[in-house]
Amino acid sequence: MNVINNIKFDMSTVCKLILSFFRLYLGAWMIVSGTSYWLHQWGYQPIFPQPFGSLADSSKLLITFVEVGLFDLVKTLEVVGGLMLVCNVFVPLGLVILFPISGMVFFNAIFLNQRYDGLLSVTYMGTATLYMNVILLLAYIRYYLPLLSLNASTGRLTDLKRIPEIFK
Amino acid sequence: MRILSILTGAIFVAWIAYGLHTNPRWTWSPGEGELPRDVVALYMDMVYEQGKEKEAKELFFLANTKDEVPAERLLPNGKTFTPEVIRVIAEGFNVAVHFSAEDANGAPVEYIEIYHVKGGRILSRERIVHRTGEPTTALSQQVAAPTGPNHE
Repeated sequence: MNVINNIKFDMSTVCKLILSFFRLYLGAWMIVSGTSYWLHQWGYQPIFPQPFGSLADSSKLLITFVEVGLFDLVKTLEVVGGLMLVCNVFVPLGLVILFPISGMVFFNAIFLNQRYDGLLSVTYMGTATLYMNVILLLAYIRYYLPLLSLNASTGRLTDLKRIPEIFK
Repeated sequence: MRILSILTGAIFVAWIAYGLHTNPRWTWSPGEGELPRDVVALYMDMVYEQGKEKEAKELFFLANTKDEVPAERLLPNGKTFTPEVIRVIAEGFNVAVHFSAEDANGAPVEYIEIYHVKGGRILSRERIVHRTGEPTTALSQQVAAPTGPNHE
């Protein structure tokens, strides 16, 4: 109880709570989406039937993804990335893994299914996944700044010795 | 803190899963969530191989499904058969199945059935018939059109 009383509800705390909510909600949504697909693939009842688009181009994209096997990879990465976010481990990596998926979900929803009404909706997951993903990427930007180096040079083999640092 | 995160995440997973599972947009028909080509395969198996026309219609057709194939011509020789599938062409919602079967006289006939499938339901179906030895222009003859006594 003392812990709760000691929390100062200033702007920083509110922001952290919102970001934690986004991280957990995005992660949970990805886990559910990926798990539902694999349940169906393994012969169990899915959490929800996989939709294959409302319009022709959307269906072409999604069905082709399934037929060439790319959907297996997408749904696996959804589960992996989602678990990283929910378990709060390797979150920056999880966000990078989920970013292309969120981008494709957005592209499919807006450009292929023409759900323009979802652009400003915070509850439509076709767009909200990308919005949350981008906000979280910005929140964790300090981990990506080294990636954005203008003048990058190759390292040395000895850099591999630094790998254990990722677990700190 | 990590345990709290995992517990909260688990609650979110359960909440989202429940919301999606009970969403009224799902009909939970056997074809929903299946690829259109798989829906057609399920339908063809049920009708052509098992002869369950009525059940298949209930499960895979909608009330406004546009079916160009009259019920009495659904089975070419009047009984169940195993279609010899030559090829399947699928793009998006559209599936074309090219198969051969024997007609009532035991003559091999090639069929092309074109399905439009959405949400696990067949929205339209047309059938094109090609008899061996006839010019390929016969492909444009749909079964729904009246044909001669030796035809289907």
